[in-house]
Amino acid sequence: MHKILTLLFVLIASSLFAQTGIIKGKIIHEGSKSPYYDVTVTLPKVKIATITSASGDYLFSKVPFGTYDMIISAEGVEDVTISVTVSNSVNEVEIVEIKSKEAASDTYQGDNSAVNVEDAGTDDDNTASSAGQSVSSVLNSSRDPYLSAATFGWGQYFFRPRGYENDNNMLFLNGVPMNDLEEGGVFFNSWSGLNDVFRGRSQTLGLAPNEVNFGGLGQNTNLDASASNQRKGTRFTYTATNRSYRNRIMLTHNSGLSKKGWAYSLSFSKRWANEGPVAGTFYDAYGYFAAIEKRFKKHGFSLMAVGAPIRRGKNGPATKEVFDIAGSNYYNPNWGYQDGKVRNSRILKTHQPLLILSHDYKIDSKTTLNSAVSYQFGETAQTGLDWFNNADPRPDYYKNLPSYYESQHEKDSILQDFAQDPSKMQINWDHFYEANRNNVIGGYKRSVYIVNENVEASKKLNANINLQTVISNHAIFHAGLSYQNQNNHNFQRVADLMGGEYWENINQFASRTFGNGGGFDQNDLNATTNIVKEGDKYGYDYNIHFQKANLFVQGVFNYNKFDFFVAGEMGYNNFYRTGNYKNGLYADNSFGDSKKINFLVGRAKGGFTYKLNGRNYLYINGSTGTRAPFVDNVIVSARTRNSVISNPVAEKVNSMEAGYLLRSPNIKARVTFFATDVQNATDIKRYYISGPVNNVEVSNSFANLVIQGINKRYTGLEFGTEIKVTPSLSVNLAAAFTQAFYTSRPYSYINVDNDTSATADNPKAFDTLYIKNYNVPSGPQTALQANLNYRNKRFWFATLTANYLANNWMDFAPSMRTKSGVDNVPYDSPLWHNLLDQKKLNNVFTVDAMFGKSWKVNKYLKKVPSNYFFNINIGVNNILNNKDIQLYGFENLRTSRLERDQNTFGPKYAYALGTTYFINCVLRF
Amino acid sequence: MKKIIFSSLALIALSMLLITSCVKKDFDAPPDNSTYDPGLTVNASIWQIKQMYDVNLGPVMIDQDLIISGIVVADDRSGSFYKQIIVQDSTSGITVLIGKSSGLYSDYPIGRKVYIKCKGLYVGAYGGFIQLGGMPIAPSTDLTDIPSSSMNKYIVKASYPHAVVPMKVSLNQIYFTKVSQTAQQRQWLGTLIQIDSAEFVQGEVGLEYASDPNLSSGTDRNIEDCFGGTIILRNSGYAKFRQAKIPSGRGSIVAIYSTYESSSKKIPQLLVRDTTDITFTAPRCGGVVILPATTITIDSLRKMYVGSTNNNGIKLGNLKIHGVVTSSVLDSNISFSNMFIQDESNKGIVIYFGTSHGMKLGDSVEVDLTGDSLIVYRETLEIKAKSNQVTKISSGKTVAPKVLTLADLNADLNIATYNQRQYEGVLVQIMGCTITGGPNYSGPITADRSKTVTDATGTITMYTLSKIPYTTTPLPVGSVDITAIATKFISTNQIQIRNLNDVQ
Repeated sequence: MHKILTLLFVLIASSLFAQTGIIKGKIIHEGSKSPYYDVTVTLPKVKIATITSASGDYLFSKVPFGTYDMIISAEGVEDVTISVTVSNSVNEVEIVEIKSKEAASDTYQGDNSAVNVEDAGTDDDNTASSAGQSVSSVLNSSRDPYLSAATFGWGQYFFRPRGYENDNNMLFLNGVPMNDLEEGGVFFNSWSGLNDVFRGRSQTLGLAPNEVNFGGLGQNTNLDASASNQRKGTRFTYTATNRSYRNRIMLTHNSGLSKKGWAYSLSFSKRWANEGPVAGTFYDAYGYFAAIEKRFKKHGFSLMAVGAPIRRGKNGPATKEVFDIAGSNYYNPNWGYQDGKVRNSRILKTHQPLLILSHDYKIDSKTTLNSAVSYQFGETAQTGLDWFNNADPRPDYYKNLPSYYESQHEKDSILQDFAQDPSKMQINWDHFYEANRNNVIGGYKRSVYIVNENVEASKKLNANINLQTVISNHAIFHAGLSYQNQNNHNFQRVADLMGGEYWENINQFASRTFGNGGGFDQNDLNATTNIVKEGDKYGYDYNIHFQKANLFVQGVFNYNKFDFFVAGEMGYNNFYRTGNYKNGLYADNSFGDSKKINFLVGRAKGGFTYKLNGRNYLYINGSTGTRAPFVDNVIVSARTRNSVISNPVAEKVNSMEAGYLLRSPNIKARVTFFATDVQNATDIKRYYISGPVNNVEVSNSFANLVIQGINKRYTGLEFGTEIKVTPSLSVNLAAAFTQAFYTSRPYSYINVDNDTSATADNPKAFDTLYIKNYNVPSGPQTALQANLNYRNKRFWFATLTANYLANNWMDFAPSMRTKSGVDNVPYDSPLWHNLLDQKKLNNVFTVDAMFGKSWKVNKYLKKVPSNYFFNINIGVNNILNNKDIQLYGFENLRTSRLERDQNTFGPKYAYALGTTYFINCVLRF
Repeated sequence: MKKIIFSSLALIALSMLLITSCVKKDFDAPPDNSTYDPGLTVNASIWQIKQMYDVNLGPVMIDQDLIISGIVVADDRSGSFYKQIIVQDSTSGITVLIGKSSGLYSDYPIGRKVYIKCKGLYVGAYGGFIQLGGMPIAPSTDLTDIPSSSMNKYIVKASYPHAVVPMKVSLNQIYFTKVSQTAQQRQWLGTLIQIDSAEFVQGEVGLEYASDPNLSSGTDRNIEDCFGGTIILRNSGYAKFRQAKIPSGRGSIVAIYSTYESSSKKIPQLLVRDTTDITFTAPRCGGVVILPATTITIDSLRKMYVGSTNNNGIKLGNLKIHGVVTSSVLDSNISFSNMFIQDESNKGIVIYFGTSHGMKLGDSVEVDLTGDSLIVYRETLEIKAKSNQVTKISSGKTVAPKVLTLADLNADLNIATYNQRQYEGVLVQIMGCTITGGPNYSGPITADRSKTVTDATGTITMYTLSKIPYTTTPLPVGSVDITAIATKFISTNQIQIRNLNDVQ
């Protein structure tokens, strides 16, 4: 039908305007032959330009008969000019192959961004905060000035485009979805440090169509690491920096595509720091990558293996009181001296190798079928301290701090002790050994302090198949089917008995409440012994199983004056828990499989772009649908039992965006308005409580605060422009004005872990949360950037960037925003406001600069072949050395109305480093 | 091809090189310093320090460079001692207050030799028992704790372990009254003593060492010898052995000799570190044998009350009952000192403790009836408990109510012979009834608290305390199902709901 209509249209058009014709064609990547989208195609003579669609297609209409130079320009690639003659009503241009953008470029910026993300990722994952890993930072520059600002300037300060949580950003590696089924986000650590081979990427923001998947609400990134798409040659990189690690080397060799259709790629990296910029931290990470590809005429097979073994000592957030005592915003409570040497208690160890086997098949000139199978496995372990019948040994434990004491005399004497011996503000490892060795029970040393590991061993299987077919000159059809299966094994493990001989696997909280009769204090009633040693599991042990199946269809239509698309997705989600321990508190409800949770969800989206002319576009996109909740927000307390919340519901998500895009030769600009409503979300907050909640007595227990009926709105404006002042100097400006806030008063209830009566069916302390119009804590909601970018023809460039970020709202404790939370607090009093008003983090102003130069080596050393190049890039961030940049902050969930406790259980913060630099040297040939 | 091989080899070689030359990994264990003695010069004895305290002058600061040394004889391992250790030398013993909420035994375990640099510390007393600690914060005269951040500055660790042999004494030697406390006894206070031939008094055998700390922070138990001597054993509610049962036999007890003084009297008492200090395995004085309490059903218990006359009640022997709590103190429609329980014999009974019992609706409990009385109180059978001998076994249990018509219930409650009533104290359910007699469930005046419940077969009084939410919640209109406890108040047959969820 479409074909007939199109034909009719063309016939009419051509009969009416016999002197004009249509030019259409397609641009593909040189290696993989996959469509190259977002490429600008220009006919300078008639001053029209267009951008290739997701399928790599472009189309000009009403082009007067004649011969033209057509310029094809992709980001970072030298322009390709071909000659086109318009002599018919429809003029098909041969398919043009161009080198993949990153592979062909000297992408200096990529290295900077990678350093940033690892930096940002250092601090976040040991916090209770919702502040997450900075997704945007890992991504490379896009031609979009706004995305570029979000990536380079703001990402490192936890800016999140549109305020979305990470699970709204999707990432595909060689077409395989990489978002974790448990948490929704992407675990970048799996392939970090391998920047050389993960350059090939395309990125969209918002609801624009994506060719392999329906896509998320936020950023959608496709990484292409196939061997044939890697730039041919060898590359050796050394980086010196003071962001999280200090040294990095990378070595990469890519064969390029041989005449016989073979290509391979090898890459290795090491990043390390004996002591990072923050005291007590260290970094010891490797990355390896190997890919091989064989291309036939119609088929391509590719196999890829990647992994990154990482070990690093972390720093952690702390309260203002502690930072003040330490006199530094970089105080790190995680480390201490052992026999005079620095030892960190919070070490992250991860290694999750990933294998991807993919196949592409060009069925005919119009239809491609891509399929892939991937498998990822491995362990992520986080060490920590555990102790028995002893006070919390962490130096910033509230009972060790002056604020816990009432009299000035006591406060002063503690401060004096800290001042006299700053090691008292660090962990005392020697004491642990002493205590364990002296604690001899029945002839054996029973450890009272240990280092443990919280381990997640996961296995992920992924299979997906994607079809793309060009139906007509104007219509492309995409379909995809994917299946994901994931099994996460979670347990706790004894890592170091520190001079003792065994540890006892019992639940101390239950033992305190119920005594040691009746089996309540047993973590595992099935175990034959409670004696555990190094490497043994203890505490908790369970598996979470996930399955997800998705069907996706999409039609993209391109016409002369307008484009539009429609897409739909159906998804089936299934998950459940399997307890491997029979917990003494929940003997009937902890061992074996939980109830299986199933969700059938669906989404639809569509969009329309009106092309005023080749330079001005107006567009509007919208999406609606449902989303399954995450397992974490359905299973009440996975560590202890199988209970699920009584009515798990799917979230409803509606989103729209509308904008204007300008693409003139000297000015590119985009302004977008967006609005997204999320309804019926569920969240479970988990924390330790020691006193009554909503007048219900609970004590000394972990509690699960289930919050249901959360509605949120994300709305705002995005603006970005790139102005070419001269051919070598451009000015980029970007701004984001976001409002992300709650629009409902959700209800909450508490399920206590250390209480046999508080099953999920018998929750306590129902309460309404008065959080309407509170801001969603999602990073800075206002962000501005101005950037000067100078590129000299003599192979050097310099950039200068200023960033301003504001309205970064702190995560808040929901239980305080209840009737019982403010019981007896005088209305509108200073205390009332102090307790309830949402706090804002410091505004941020930074200036960053970068410089890079490239040399052809044989200009200086004549014996060296002419294909040897040497690059140096130097970047300095936060030149003003602002040390008061709060990356994130969150109120202590264990909170209290008592004046004194507001300091004791005060909010915790993490700070960004002051001035940082990197120096990157690359030799390639 | 050559190039491929070259690059692969280079990569592999480099990888190996880098992997082997990595950042440090495992940690060495620090040396064992437990036998180290810093050898400080001791220039004072504990008894000298203790004598610096004068009850009339209050706490005094030690401003001289005095160093004492001793062996730790009590620590906080079992929770019996909290934020304190007791150090003893050849002259006496003293409590040292340290602001660390647990784990002092990891630094100063029993048997560790310590030096205490007394300069800057205070000598004071709590209940007459002399302590070493930090400056009192006016107006209080209690010493504060030595902050944990400075404990190592004042209390210097030396070698470990050392055995301390307790001094053997008789109860006679350590008994005192306010007027007769001897200098010798004062010096013994704070030291480890041993009494050979002692036993717990008969009435306390089988009880817990200490009550729930929510009820009282400590519990006094009584030790006797075979010659009429007695002394209090003071047990902390926070001790891990709190719920251990008091042994019936006789034998030796090792304890810290302590005192508790008020303005009117001084009472000697003992403090044990753990139950291992008590080895009462020999037969009791005079060969008395105490049998463990027998568990009976509530049905059997009720049947023990014979007849229909209100006498002084039956003194109960060595008995206990199990059951599930069917009343809810938290919901305010019952006195905090009362508790209804019901067991598998489908009988219920109310227990009057005279004090808060801390049990909640749905708790499965064991009640030790030894020494309690089974009485009739306002025409209802009731256990009048001698003390708070109730133990929670588990929680979250439910009892299915007995569905009855009012005719059947009234007939049962009207039976004159107490032990023949089936439903008194039992959770019952009345289906399809109406409640009348006023706007709300309850109200400030007595008449407001009684409502009339009517079903097809009869009527009964529903009694509700004048508490929120009952005084502010309107009675339901129309037919309801009521779950409630059946009771009798003198001649009135009553039902009593636990909370508003009982009316559906």
